[in-house]
Amino acid sequence: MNDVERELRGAFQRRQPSAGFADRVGEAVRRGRSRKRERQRWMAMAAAVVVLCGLGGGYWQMRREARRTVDQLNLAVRITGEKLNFVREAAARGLLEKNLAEKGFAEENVGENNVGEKE
Amino acid sequence: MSRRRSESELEAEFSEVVREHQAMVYSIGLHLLRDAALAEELAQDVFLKLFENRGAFESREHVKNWLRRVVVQRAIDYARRARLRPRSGLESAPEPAAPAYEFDILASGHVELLVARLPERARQMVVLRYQEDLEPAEIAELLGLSVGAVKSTLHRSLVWLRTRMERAGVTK
Repeated sequence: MNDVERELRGAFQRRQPSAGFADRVGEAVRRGRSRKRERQRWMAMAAAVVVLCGLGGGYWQMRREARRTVDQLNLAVRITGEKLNFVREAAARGLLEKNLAEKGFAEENVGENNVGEKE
Repeated sequence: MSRRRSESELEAEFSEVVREHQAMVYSIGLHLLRDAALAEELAQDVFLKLFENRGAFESREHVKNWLRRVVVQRAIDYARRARLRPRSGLESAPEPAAPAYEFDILASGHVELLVARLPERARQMVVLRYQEDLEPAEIAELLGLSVGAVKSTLHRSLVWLRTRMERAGVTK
């Protein structure tokens, strides 16, 4: 080993950090862990809120669609009912006229009944 | 309860690792940065990183090599940040966390000042070679360089240092 190397080894000896260094590192680790735990707790809460909002939104969407379907069904039933009424009345009217004609006093009586309409 | 116990065990184990390696990590930082407070900050940072990665180590030797590599890498960032950091007046400066860097002005102080003038890579190699007593092959592995590059850089650094030291009368 030459002089330069000896000087370098002398100059670059290991030194200790200031007293309590390991304790300060331990404290920083504990702080970091509690911060991490706190962050995880917040993340879990935020995730729960997001999931609940999603579920709630989905539920309301489903409910709205179900209501719309029921409304459409009601409308369809009402229209069908009206049509059926109309057909039934028409059929009944046609049957009545046919019966009256067969019995031979259709037009006059019917005509009398319809006087108001003709005027 | 068992989780609490295992956490305290983990902390005790980690504290032991810190005590075992603190001089090595701090001294590499100190010799590369030449600033005691910054070297302590760097050492703390490196140990916190070690704690974060605690599951990844297979042996004590693995931990030691990892610490050496990370402290050298992080020292580069710290040196750059220190150069960019605005200097404030003494009135606003906080109390130092560690005693100031103690130079033996007559001998080692001069050598350290000379080493501080070497390029960054060469300085890292000199610190690893003469503080940590690593062989060129180990330094090459640690820094991700070829053995030849390490040997030639160390050789040129020693020649440069010898010339300056002879000129300054530190060596004959």
